[in-house]
Amino acid sequence: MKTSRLLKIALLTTGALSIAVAAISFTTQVVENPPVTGEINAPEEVKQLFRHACYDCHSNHTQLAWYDKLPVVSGLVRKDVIAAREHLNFSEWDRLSPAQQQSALWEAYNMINSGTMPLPSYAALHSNAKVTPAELSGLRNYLNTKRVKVVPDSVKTAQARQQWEKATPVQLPVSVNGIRHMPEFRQWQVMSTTSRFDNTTMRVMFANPVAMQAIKEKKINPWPDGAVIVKVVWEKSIDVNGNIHPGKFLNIQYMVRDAKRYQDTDGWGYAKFETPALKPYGATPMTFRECSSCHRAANKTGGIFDLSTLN
Amino acid sequence: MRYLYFILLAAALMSCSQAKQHIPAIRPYAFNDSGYQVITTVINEKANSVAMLYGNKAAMHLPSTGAIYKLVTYREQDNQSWYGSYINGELLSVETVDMTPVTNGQPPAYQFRPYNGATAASDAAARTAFIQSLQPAWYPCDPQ
Repeated sequence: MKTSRLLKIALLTTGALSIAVAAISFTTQVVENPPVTGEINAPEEVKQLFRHACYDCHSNHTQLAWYDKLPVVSGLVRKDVIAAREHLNFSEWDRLSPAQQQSALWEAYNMINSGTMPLPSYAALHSNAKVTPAELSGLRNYLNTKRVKVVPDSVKTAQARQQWEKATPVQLPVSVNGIRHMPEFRQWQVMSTTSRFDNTTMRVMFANPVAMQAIKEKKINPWPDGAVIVKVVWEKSIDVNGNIHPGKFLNIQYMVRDAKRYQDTDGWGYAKFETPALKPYGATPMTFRECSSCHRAANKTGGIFDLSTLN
Repeated sequence: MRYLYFILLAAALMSCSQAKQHIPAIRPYAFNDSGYQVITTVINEKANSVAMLYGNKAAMHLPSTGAIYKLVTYREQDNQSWYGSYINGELLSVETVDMTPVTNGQPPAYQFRPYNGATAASDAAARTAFIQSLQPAWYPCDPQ
């Protein structure tokens, strides 16, 4: 008799809780969908990919499943969507400059291609988010129509010439997160050199002795603390014979490994110094979260993109 | 209880296998810079190659005698980590221009060392002139 009463109470409580949770799930507004200001203009197959794989987080068309609205889960979903929209919002595509749009497209491809996006945890619960090889191939074909060719540019050539006339700063600049410019990188070994065709830049990467040792020993996932990688970036400059040389200096970028200190950015501290005046980039250390989120696409090589592989 | 241990062991093994990432085959470094510094980089899209010009200490502080230049040429290949970028691939050649004979009124010494089946440049004088014509890239904090 006593057991039966307890069972009834338990069943009633469970039922009431289920109804309450269901009611919360159906009525809760986890995130608002602000008005669309201007969407991406791309072939339909490309738009279709973005719609089903990216739009729930990277647009103002967020459509959530009932389980996304459950207590606790909804808080995490809201945080993810807000962060995703800040990084890239396909519903506010018109607010990006043409260069930013170009950069976002190539980044989207590389994030999907590396399996970083859609987030595996999200894709596991939302089967519709998965991107097929055919869709990815369609996006790649679209990007191939957007390859950038460098052309002779007298203005940029003149700017490249002028930079030799300006003195570099006497005091070494320091980034907001404490990373300083290290002129000693000129004594370090070259790690690689890259030529971009998603933009008009060329780069040379240097690795300090700790990083170079890690590469030689293939101990790069994770990289050892103390590893530093420097990337020097120039605009390409093409001569009359078609040879491409480093033209205008754009910036110098640093990745400094300290797993504990930079745990918020996956163990790498990022810094960038722009123009020959070496102006530190970024107002707060939070700025560099953007860097680490993109570098997750190079997860297989510990967050480093520019290592030459035996293809 | 035995089953419980089995499940725990299986879970531990699964988590270990997930944590171990497959590292792509990194290309070994075929060129030892021997303390030389990079002066500039030159990309030849028609030849699908990229070359880095190195110089010894004398070459970095012109005018000076005893300058030695090394032009190290690689085949360009797709960057496996970033579609939208080419990266230096296999080493094709190392060309050395030694300016030491110039002090005795002789032309610079030129040497071509091929790798991976590359063929030697036909005109040593033209290659020497090309290497000498390369302007240094602007590097922050280098002596201007």
